[in-house]
Amino acid sequence: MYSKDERRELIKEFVAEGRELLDDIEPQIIALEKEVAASGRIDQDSLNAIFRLFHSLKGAASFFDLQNIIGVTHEAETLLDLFRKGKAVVASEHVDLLCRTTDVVRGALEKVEQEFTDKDFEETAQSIVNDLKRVIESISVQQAPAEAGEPAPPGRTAPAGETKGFHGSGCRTGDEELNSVVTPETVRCFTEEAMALCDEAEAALLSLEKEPGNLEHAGQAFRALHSLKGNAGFMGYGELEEISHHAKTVLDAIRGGQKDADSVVISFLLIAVDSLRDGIRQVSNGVTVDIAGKEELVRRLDLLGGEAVDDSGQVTDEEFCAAKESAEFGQDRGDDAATGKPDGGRYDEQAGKESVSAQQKVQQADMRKKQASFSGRQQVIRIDLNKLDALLDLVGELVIAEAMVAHNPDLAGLQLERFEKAVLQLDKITRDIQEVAMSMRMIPLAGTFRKMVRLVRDLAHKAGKKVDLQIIGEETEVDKTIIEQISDPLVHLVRNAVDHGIETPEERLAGGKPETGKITIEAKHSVGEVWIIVADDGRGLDREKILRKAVEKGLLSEDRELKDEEAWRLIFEPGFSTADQVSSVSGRGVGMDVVKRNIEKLRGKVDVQSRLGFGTVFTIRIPLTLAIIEGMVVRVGHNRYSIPISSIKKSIQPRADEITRTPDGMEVVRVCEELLPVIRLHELYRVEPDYEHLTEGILIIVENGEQKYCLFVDELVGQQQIVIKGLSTYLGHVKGVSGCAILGDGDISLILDVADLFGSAQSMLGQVH
Amino acid sequence: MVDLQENLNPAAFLEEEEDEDTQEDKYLTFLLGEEEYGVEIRYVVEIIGLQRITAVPDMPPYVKGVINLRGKVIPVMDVRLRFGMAERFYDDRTCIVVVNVAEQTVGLIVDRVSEVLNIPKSEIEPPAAVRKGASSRFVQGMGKVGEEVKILLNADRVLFDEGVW
Repeated sequence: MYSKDERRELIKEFVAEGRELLDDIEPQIIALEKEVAASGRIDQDSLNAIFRLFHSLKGAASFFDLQNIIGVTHEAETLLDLFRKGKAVVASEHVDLLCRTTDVVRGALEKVEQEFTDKDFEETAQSIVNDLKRVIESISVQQAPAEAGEPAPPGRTAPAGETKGFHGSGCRTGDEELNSVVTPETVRCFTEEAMALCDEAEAALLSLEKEPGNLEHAGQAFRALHSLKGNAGFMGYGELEEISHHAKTVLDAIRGGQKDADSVVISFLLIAVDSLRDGIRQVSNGVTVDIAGKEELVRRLDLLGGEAVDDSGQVTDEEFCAAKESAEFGQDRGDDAATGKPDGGRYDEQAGKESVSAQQKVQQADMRKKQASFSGRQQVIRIDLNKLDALLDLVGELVIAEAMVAHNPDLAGLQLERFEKAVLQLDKITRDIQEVAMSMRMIPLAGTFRKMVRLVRDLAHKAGKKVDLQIIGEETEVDKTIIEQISDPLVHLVRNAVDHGIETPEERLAGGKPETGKITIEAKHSVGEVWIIVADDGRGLDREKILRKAVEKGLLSEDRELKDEEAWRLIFEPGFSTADQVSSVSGRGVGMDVVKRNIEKLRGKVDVQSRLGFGTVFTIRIPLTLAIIEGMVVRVGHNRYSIPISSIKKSIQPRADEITRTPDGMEVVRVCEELLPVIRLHELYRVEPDYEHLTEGILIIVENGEQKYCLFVDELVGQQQIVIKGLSTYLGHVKGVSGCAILGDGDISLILDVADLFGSAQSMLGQVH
Repeated sequence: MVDLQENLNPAAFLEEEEDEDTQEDKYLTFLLGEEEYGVEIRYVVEIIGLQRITAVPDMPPYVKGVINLRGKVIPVMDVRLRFGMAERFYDDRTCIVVVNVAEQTVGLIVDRVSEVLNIPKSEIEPPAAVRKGASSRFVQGMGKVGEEVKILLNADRVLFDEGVW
């Protein structure tokens, strides 16, 4: 059916999808536990949603015959089914078990990714299957005697077919639940893929009509609809799932040779595909899926597929009625076949006659169809990440090349009006290209944030605390590199918040706070930066304790007065921890150090605000574009340096009377009633300057967070976009330098790190004097 | 003897021999003062003429700074200073031998490049232990070529050894 390579490609996609499914399942399982704790009852919709996710996973796994994954997900389904049937209440142990199940599946996926099989995973899989079975059994044993006498609770009288849950009206309310989890991005992906699958199915059906004997076409259409069914099921579009399921069943019969692919059957299947398309368009337009004449269509498809038998093998009341009606319709169809009328037209007529409202719906659908004819087209293509990175590298080269043209030394002193204009145009286009290329690497933070849900739950349980996690702005998009680097710091911050920040319920109650602590993770864009905020309403940082520890560790002399911000910064020192006891999760004092280092790698900053007894807020600020920044190039003697525009306040040429020299050799300049220290770049970097006198050169006032000072340079060369290149790792960290840039004439300029420069100025100048 | 004004590709020395096996026993030799040194050819990426060097602050004296090698920023090291020899003004025969050792690309500034030599293992003797000279820890052996002796360097130590001489 598939070549080896194709199969591998498919398996890779399956693994990626499987991971996404798991990422979706976990937060929902945990949400379930909360709901039970809050209202004492199981939320049917969430259960359905989780059930569906496991089911999709199982379906996909069975496509590749991954027995261990199938086994595990199957048991998970069984367990969930018990909850759905109201035979047990979800307890925290069940949630633990389900979480462990997802872990096992995750592990299996990893193996599949590497070895394209889940063999050798039997042991792990079996142990979790056994655990699941044990729980399932214990529930059944408890419930068996009670069940007999107990009438079904209200709301649970739905026919058996519905509890199976992937089709039937029960999904409807589930849709809304799931939609809240599904992002617009995934919806777009779904609609595009679904449209492609419809096209594929249609093409296969048309080929099948031409060559009724070629069952490969039937198989192809079957696979397309099968995928569509899976996707729709995952997304919670019950109607689409239902139709594709029934159409698929018909195709299965054809594929298996139990059914002939005559034009009548094909016409029906094509109608089904059209209905699916309507539904998909409704999805992409954000309208509730409502397919005109769906029941009728499904009924007839069932009839074509053989008999109206549900997956479970139980014929329900509803289906019994449907079958009866279909039988009558079957006669109609027979007549049609006899008269040779095309069946599709006949069907449309019938559907139209059935009710006026249905007809209106059809009209509406037609209108929407017209509106949607553009939006339904393919709008997303998958690109190899390497290609994207190569493009980005090229854009970087382009920016350098552009600078080489625009700032070419050969042009010095020439008056070139038209050339300048052309360069301006080139500059604008280059910036646009850069922006587009950058945006292509942007991914929402949702995946990263959702992992925290599980983390918080597990940690809170372990520590015996009650924590409510709120996530805001998970749709915020950031560069892929940021996603990769932010995960660890976020884990550390959240861990600290749960372990150190939030108090035990008793402590909280004693302190007059609600029993359940609150942690908020928020992401937002703010002028060229992305902000990620982790806040808790716990006990806050203890200033005295931090200072005491700092003195103990020799980081601080006892008599130094520190501002709050300075005190908080101490927690980022390597090995610093105020925890009295080292717990299994934190307290060793490595966490915050890692946070700071990872964030700095992204040229970001971490700010801390805290109030004892009220909580702590960590604000991570990361520049959106990592590779290209707006910089001011300055010259000192023969050397040129770049300073990020974002840290420059202004530049001045001071008058002699504004300069004060303190006895210890420190120079201070008065600027707008502020006294700012001066750092002479030539002294710091030991280069020969043009000017020794502050009044002759230029003072650049730079600011970075708390520090504000002046840098003394010979001259401003000009503002330009600079592509940040890492200074060779061979050199290690260079004080006061964050990287380097290649200038228009091919020379290298070091990019100054304003914050680091101020800090290292003291030590470096100390060696000079 | 090769023309040192041009940028030289070591592949040109090797002619058609390109794969790793044939690089064995081959050394690129260069001059520092009176002595001739050799470095295993497998480390050598290319040989370029002297370029404008951007100084990097806060570095040991032998790290002269960084150069722009066709868009790549690579650090350069003055091998004379690394070996504790007297500094010498760069001239038109000064070369930068670009080497890649343990994924680090570094330029080595040498007085001048001589040639690529085949020195079989049988002709290499361990470094003389008589005089614990300043730079002997950078030496991995002494290669005999006819009447001459080449000092064969341990590229890894030249780049990464941080001990004092």
